Amino acid sequence: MGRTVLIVDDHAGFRSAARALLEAGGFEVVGEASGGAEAIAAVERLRPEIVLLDVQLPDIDGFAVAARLPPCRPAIVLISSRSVASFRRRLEANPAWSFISKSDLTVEALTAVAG
Amino acid sequence: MPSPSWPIRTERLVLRPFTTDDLESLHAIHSDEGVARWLYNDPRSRGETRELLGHKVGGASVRAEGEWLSAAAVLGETGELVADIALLWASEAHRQGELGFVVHPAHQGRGYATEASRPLLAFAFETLGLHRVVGRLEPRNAGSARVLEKLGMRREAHLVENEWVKGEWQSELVYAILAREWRDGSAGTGQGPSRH
Repeated sequence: MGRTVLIVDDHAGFRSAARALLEAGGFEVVGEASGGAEAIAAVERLRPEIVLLDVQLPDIDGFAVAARLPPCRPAIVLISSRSVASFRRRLEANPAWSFISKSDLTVEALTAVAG
Repeated sequence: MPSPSWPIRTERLVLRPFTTDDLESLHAIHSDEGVARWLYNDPRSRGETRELLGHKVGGASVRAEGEWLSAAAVLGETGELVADIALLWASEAHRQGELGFVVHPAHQGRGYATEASRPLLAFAFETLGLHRVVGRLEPRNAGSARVLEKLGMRREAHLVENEWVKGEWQSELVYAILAREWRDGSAGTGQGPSRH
């Protein structure tokens, strides 16, 4: 099996599209979460290798979720409809975090930053 | 766990935490094309609104930076939901926050967003001790810009075509108000923003 992924986004439509894209590309999507608190619990339970984590969640900001996850595993890939320029300073706070704009999300892009 | 003293009463409105009973009225807001036009997301399906409401129900208080406080703004006379108001505790170290709101399509243009945002700004500055609160929006979202200006927020930036959203280049205005400006009463008398 490919690397395991947890998809975190408050839009079910995006989660479905991302799941289809990643599964077709060989990743194993082990779970989905629609909010930050749910994501933190899901990481604990599912132990994914990669967390695809939307910045703009309705309960906890994606960066705050990332900060509450274990420091080494999983790989954190933040995603947003906004551009990387909007988050550059916050991303610099933790070099282990990666970022992909939602419009640029492909199997190749995810593999490049977390593969 | 910092929390406003719910419910908060204003001249025409009552602000309270969301409950699961708010699904229909919240969906009327978040499924509307016009409401979603200047947000990053598309109109929400009923299932997506149900998920959203689940998170908002848990947003009656904030424990740490990165968390959103959510308030349902309802008419004092009828209890009808007119707006979904939210405050992000963006940074503890930098004492920053962000205000966001969406208004029910049948209740726009009546000053409800302004009236409902003021108590959340008061909570931000007086309870959380924040130094600065921002609002962000697309410049064509003129109604929300007026709200921010009525709240006394200062236009600090106009980023020109900085984002590719919904198949077009969109721009971004950044508004902000400092705690001392809020205290000095430069918060205006009108209404608040955002792209959330």
